[in-house]
Order: sequence, then structure tokens, then C-alpha cells
Amino acid sequence: MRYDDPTLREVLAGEYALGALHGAARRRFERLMRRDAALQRLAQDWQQLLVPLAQETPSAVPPARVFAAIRHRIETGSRAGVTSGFWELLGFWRAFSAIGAAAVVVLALTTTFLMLRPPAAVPPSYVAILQDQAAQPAVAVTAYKNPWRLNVESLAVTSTRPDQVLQIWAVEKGSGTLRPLIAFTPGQPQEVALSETQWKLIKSAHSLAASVEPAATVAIAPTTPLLYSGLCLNLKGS
Amino acid sequence: MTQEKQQRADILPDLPDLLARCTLRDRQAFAALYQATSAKLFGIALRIVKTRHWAEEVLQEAFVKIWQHAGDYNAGRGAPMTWMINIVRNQALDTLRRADFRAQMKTAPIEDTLPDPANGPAAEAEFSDELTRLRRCMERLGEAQRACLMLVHHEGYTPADVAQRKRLPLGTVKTWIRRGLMRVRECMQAPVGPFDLDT
Repeated sequence: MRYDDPTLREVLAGEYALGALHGAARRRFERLMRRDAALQRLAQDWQQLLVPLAQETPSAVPPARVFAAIRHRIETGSRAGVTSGFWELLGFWRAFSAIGAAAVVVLALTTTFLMLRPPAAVPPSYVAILQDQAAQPAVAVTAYKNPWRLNVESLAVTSTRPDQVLQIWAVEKGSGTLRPLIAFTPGQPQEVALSETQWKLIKSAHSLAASVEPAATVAIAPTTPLLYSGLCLNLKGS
Repeated sequence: MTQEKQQRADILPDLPDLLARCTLRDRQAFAALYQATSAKLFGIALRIVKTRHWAEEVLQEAFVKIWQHAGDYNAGRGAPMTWMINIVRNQALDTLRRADFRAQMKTAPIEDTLPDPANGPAAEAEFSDELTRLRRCMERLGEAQRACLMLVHHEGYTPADVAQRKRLPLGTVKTWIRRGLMRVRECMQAPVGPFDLDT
């Protein structure tokens, strides 16, 4: 095929911009463009001509985890994998720090030891990655059903004084009302059984948040500023 | 520019400015750019790769490229949205030929990828005039021919896919695509007629 034929160049550039070239043909055309600036300009002109068509495609809001993954990659220069699977998502956050990695080991050992089913077989229903003000992940909260239970895990160096706990709050959709969910002592991952009322709090939560509260009292409303928060994502669509 | 458009433009984020700030490693500008354009770009990716999982992967790769190559954006070669859409489309079309994508799509049920309506004004505003003209030029094609071009562009179908779906000979589809492209370009390059001004 003669790539110096003006008509052929025009046609191929148009087909490339439209998306009609696939597989080997597309790769070949891209190789040609790399060493042929005029051909590249031709393809760009076509792309510019056709790009308004993209406006006809309806928009769709991507989930928050996509931007979290992008931000992680541009900040660390690392190559995090796809983040749409839940375990991949947690894997990505855990890769964030050595402590996170240690927590994976601890969690894996604990679950194996307790003869629970392996995590991949029991996907959680809800997950919230609570971040600090600098958007660094601090706490992972995952909710499972059958039976209802919650797993809370520190992802960053979060510690409280012995007389304090990290209180996790459910932030209700719409109203934004904070309701106490559970108290958590940073360190070891913690699994707690949930009552039906607590499960409903999670189901109706827009996000989860955390504040440091005195361990001796049962918190009804935060007495200190919220330290961490993150969207409460429904992974099951139910 | 009409008054209404001027007002719209005033409240929209300035995409060229945001891209320029990205080249200076301004993460806030990058976040604002994402906020303004990600829904449009995710919709485009979703339409081509058909599943949210893969569309998320496409969007992630595309935005990392946008961040890394913001300095390559050349305002003389089109609007920022044009540049970003082409990055996303390229990423999505590349995904279609990935072995793991093909393996998964063979077994995976086709998701209902009708995206939630979330048209952000920022991504829309850049094209309205061009889109009006382009639509008019496309309308001058026969309906079947126009459908071929749309399926290839919007859905990422190969000419062979289109031939199979439309039960047409592959040669016919290929010819329609080529002729259709040439006619559309001819029409777009023609001087704007007195009637076209009245939009």
C-alpha cells in the first residue's frame, strides 16, 4: 500500500479519527503518524472535525474511587492497578504505607486463624475509606451482611490516647445528620457485630466520618472536630 | 457570542487555564479539570468499552496521561475538550484490542451501560456551534450511511461489527464510511450559507 497517495492518506486519517481502524491497522497507522508529521496533522484535523459528535454521548458520573486512584498515581508516580474491584481498591490503599501493608498481613493471618471464609469469597456490601484533610486515607470501614458486621482498619498512623477512642459516625443522606456507629481503637483491625439499627444507619449513610472522643462516655454527637471522612459506597447495589 | 452564551461562559471553569496550571503541577487545577470534564469523558469511555469496570480503567489511564502530558496541549490545534476527548477515545479503542478485555467480554454479560444523565455545562459549551453544523452535514447523508458512521464513532464498532449488526456486506459498510467521511468534510469546509447563520 502506498502511503504517499493523498486520497489514501485522507481516507485513513478520517477512518482513524472516526474509530474505524482497529487492531493491527490502528497500530500501523499510529506508527506511520509517529514518523510522518503531516499525516499526524491530517489525523488531528479529522479528530477536530469529528469531535463534536462526542457531545451526543450522554455523560455519566464516575465513582469517587477513580479520582482517588488517579490522584494516588500522580502523587506517587506509581502504577496502581484497576480500582473498581473492592479488593483491588483496598489493595491500592494498603499499598499506601508500610503500616497498611502490615495490616493486610495481620488481617489475612487473623481471618485464616479464625477459620473465617477467605475475604474474596465474602464481598462486603459497603465500604468507606476515611481520609484526612490532606486527602490521605486513614481508616477503612467495610460492612458485611449475613451476619451484619463491620470491619474497621487503620490505614495510616492513627493513634489515640488510652482514654480516647475514634468514634465512627454515619452521615445520613440528605439531612447530613451524624449518628454514632461504633467506637474504634486504632491499631489492630477490629470486627464488630452490627444490630439491625446500625445496619440501617450504614444503608442510609451518605458518608462515614470519625472524631476522637473520650473512651469513658458514649458519644451522641461529636465533641471534637471531625478528623476523617469518606463516602459510604454501596458495592452490591442493594 | 449571544448574551446567554456569554453568561454561560462566565460561570464555566476556564479549561485552557486549568490545563496550563496542570503543566505547573497545580493539583487543585487538575482536580477542578477532573470535576468539570470527567462525567463527559466517562460517558464517552463507557459507550465504547460497555462496562463500568473497563470505563473506570480507561478514565484513570486517560487522566494520568492528561496530567503527564498537559504541556503537549496546543491551543492552536483545538479546544482542550477536543484534546482530552481524543485521549479518552484512544485509550478506549486501545482497550478494545487488549487480550484480557476480549477474554472478559466473551463471558461477561453485557451491562446496561445507559449512563445516568449528568451533562456538565463545561464540557458541553465548547462545541455547540460546531455540533450544530456537523449535525446538519450528517443529516445530508442517507440514514443508513449516517448510522454506520455513528456506530463506529460512538460505540467503537469495527466496520465488520457494523456489517454484522446491520446485515450489510462489509464492502458496502466500508464504502459508506469512506464516502460519508468525505461528504461530511466537504460540507463542513463549505462556507457557511446565509441560512446557516440563523441558528
